[in-house]
Amino acid sequence: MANLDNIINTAGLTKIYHRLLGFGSNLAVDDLNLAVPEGCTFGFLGPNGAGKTTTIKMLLGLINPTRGSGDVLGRELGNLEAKEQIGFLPEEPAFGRHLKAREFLNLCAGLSHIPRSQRRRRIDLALDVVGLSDRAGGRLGEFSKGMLQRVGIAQAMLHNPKLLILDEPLTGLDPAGRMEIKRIMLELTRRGKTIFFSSHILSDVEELCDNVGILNRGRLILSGPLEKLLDAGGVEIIVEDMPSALLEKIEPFVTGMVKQGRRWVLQLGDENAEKQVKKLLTEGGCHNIRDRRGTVKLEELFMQTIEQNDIAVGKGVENG
Amino acid sequence: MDDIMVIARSTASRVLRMKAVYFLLAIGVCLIASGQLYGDITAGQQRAYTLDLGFLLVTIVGVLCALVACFDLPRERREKTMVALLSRPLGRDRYLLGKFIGVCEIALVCMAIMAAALVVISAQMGSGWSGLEIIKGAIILFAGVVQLASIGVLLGTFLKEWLATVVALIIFWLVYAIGALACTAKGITHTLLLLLPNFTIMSAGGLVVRRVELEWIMVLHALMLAVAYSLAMLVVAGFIFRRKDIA
Repeated sequence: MANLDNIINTAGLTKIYHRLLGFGSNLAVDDLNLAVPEGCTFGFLGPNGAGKTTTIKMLLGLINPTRGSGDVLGRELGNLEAKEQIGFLPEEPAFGRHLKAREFLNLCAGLSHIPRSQRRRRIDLALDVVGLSDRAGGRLGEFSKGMLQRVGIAQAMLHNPKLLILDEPLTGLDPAGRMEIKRIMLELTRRGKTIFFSSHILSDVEELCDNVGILNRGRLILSGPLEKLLDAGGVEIIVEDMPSALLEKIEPFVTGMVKQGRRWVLQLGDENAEKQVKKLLTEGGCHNIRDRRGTVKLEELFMQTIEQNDIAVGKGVENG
Repeated sequence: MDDIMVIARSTASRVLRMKAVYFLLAIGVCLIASGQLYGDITAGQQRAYTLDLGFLLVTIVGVLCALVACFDLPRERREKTMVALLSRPLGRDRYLLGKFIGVCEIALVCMAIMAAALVVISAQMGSGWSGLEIIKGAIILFAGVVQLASIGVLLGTFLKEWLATVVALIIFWLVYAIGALACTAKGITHTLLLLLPNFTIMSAGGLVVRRVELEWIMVLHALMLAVAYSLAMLVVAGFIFRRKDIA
């Protein structure tokens, strides 16, 4: 099952929560087939309750799957050797309010089997990356949400893992905090880490990720390279000083035409139409021809995908 | 082993940061020391009374420490600290073992302080009881507390804080007289009662008060029983905990 090019693979991963004494059940994750390539920044998207955190916890072996299997770093879910190479930031960073930042990181270093001789240096380095060197002696109970998030990232990267799994790292932060966390994430990407993170903030995902997966009602409904997914497939041709006699000839191939001063913006459905129109324009004596690939925003893609899936699920329910 | 000790130290240090622990110890020491004031109401038996009260307080302090195991695991699960810890390369069995050792460490420290106070006060009163006998009695009491701590860890893996504590207290109360119960019960009840820990060893204090000499072999047996019983409880706790979702 393990595809060695992927750092995370799952096959039919399913989690059903059974209520007490068997009264009803809740399908949290349904037949999830996920593939996360090594070295990428993967955005794991989905509305509230879609099953993102449950999936993450299954990847870490914290929650036992009801069905299906998976591997992380080529080893089965929850494998301790794989966990040596995973850094995790939980959705709610609860780290023991009584501890000082350095004490907490020292505890994490011990649990990550970092040799004692290296601990101080690693902790200093992690605190430096997240910009908390001057607050190393502060108690976690006195830290703001943004600072706790940074401590969370520091503990996740302390043992220099290959894979970072961040559960909602940007949620609940003010703009400055978000900027800071994004800076850290970009820095980690630059260092060659694979980052798998869940988020609701689509503009940030668009900015940070090169691969995304959209989860709805526990099912992965879209996944792949972001660039490919955002490519709407349409093309626009911009031409100046087009003779009016050409309008009739090109009309069958275009899906829309807009005149902007001397310019015409022609909207085309596919590459065949693009070729035909370009040929007609060139033969018609037009020289200033430019094309522009059409893209959609991640937000539009997300909303469309979720809505389509909701409708499909609704129809499925109606049909029995 | 390092990761187990990290969990143990973290558990012990968190408890030792609580002011209530020191308050409890101070009250305990004061109560033992006040034993010599009760000459009239103890009909001149204040020395035996002080020793008896001292052993009772050592037991109470130990039991309270053991109960930490009941609420520490569910608390870490509720506060989601457990998620951060178990996402690291730390096996669940090792986590439980670390918790158990941490609780035993706290119990050992607190009971040792109380026992030391008892030895000093007893010597000061010129009671005639040997300090070594008092220490032997305290070690046997500690062996009982270790068993209770292992039950606390087991209950903490699947019950909520308050429920685990209540059940542990009921078990403690029930099995305090387990010797008598096990003798009179028959069939399945008899077998079930034998599965519970034998806390009759916790009446060691009474033996010391009655000037029964405690053999070292008895101390060793109590400790071996505690280790064997605790290991069995931790194996069962690990079996349950591995199947538990850390949501």
